Amino acid sequence: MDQVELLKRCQDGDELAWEVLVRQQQGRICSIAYGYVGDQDEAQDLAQDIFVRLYKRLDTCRDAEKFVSWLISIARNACLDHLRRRKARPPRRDIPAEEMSSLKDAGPTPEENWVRSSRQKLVHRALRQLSEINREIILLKDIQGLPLEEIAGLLELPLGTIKSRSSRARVELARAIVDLGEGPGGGSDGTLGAEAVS
Amino acid sequence: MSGGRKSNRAPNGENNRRHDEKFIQDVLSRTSGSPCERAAGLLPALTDDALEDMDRRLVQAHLEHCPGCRTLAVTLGWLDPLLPKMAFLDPGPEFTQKVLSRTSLAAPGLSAGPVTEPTAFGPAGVMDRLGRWWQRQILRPVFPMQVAYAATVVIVLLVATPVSPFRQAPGRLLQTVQAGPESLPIVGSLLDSTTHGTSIWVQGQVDYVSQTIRDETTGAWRGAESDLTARMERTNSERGSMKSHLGDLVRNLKGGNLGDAGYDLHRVLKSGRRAWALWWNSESIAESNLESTIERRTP
Repeated sequence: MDQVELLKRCQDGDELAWEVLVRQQQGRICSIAYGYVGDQDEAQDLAQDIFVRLYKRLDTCRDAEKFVSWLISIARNACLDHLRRRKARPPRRDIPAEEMSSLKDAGPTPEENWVRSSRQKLVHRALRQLSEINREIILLKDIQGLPLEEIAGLLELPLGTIKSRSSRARVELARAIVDLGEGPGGGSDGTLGAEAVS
Repeated sequence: MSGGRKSNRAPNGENNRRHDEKFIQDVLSRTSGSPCERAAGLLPALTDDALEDMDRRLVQAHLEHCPGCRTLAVTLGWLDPLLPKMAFLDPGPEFTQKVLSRTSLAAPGLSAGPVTEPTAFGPAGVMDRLGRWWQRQILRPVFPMQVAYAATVVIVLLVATPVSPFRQAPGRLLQTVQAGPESLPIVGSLLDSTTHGTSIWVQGQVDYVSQTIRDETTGAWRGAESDLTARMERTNSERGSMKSHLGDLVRNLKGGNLGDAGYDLHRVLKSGRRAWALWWNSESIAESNLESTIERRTP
């Protein structure tokens, strides 16, 4: 389907076009939200908020060819706003130790329900260990496939910094995976590390 | 006996290999230092097949003898094709409906159930169609911009067209503003009447004005106080972030981690800029300003 025409119809208020756009992009938005907040329920709520924000600002997307970049920039801003509010919000109450243990044994984590592949789970766990900027570079470049120039614009950093950080971020992620004890040959399902560098 | 020799040779060979390895490590530690960092820096290019031939052979030679870097290389090998596959997560079938119920014409109350075409004829049918058309128009995202554009055109036509009865309106308005409110006939007559009033009436007016000034001053003071409190509250989060990033910056500077320190400095400045914007504008204005800045920077 022609993305330019689809976007124009959405801007004109065509509900069917908007539904197609939501179905087309919901996986991406959920992946971005999950990458930033690391919790399935929170990411789903946040992803809905992102779509509402997106809908209100559809008319500000001038270049339909760059729709995905524009979408990612809106999603990223919403995620950062959410994290900022979450950081500023004081904890409601302390959870007693006995409740903590019952929470811990309460079955599979949300992450396990959403992310099916064991390797993807591992990568998400390792992403939590990275510094903020390296995590964003992995999310935007390696996962979402944004060009380096656009990442530099989004993060407001020089292109050279992004280039040099990009390789280091991947190495840091690989190290975090190895440190989690799940590197090659260490996978809990016995599948990790079966491949070698080609 | 020969079997005994064989069983002794293997451990000796292993010992020799370990000895050689230890020797090499000792030499490297006393000369260039460990090459692992350099190898790790080149590993992404190796997995991308973007290394020059010589570099590739050097890294591969290092990998043969360094299990740590080999583990890292294998991890990068399966990581690279996996990451792009993580760009989409399936949120389940209900997600789309939740989003649609919060946006567009599918929102409950706006169009519950399937859309039915108006069946009435005559004026009722026309009004029905007109109502539906208007509802669709005002719910379009682009509608506010179109209204603003149309309003601008109407105002320009009204005040700039030679035959328009409102052509002199801006000039008159400007004159009135410059001359003060007493230039208006009704206000002028009221002001004149005060000069002919009795002394009691004048005294009453003076008291009234003094009381009004006192009330206004108190009100203004309270307003300023609450405004200051509101500004402090809405910048609280950003000032907190700025302080936190500043702490990270100092820590990274002390630890000599200049790369992360540079990023922390960037975050400090960013939080500061946002706090400044929030201080002078309401949150929504500040947010839209920042986002428009970001969108401008996106090519």
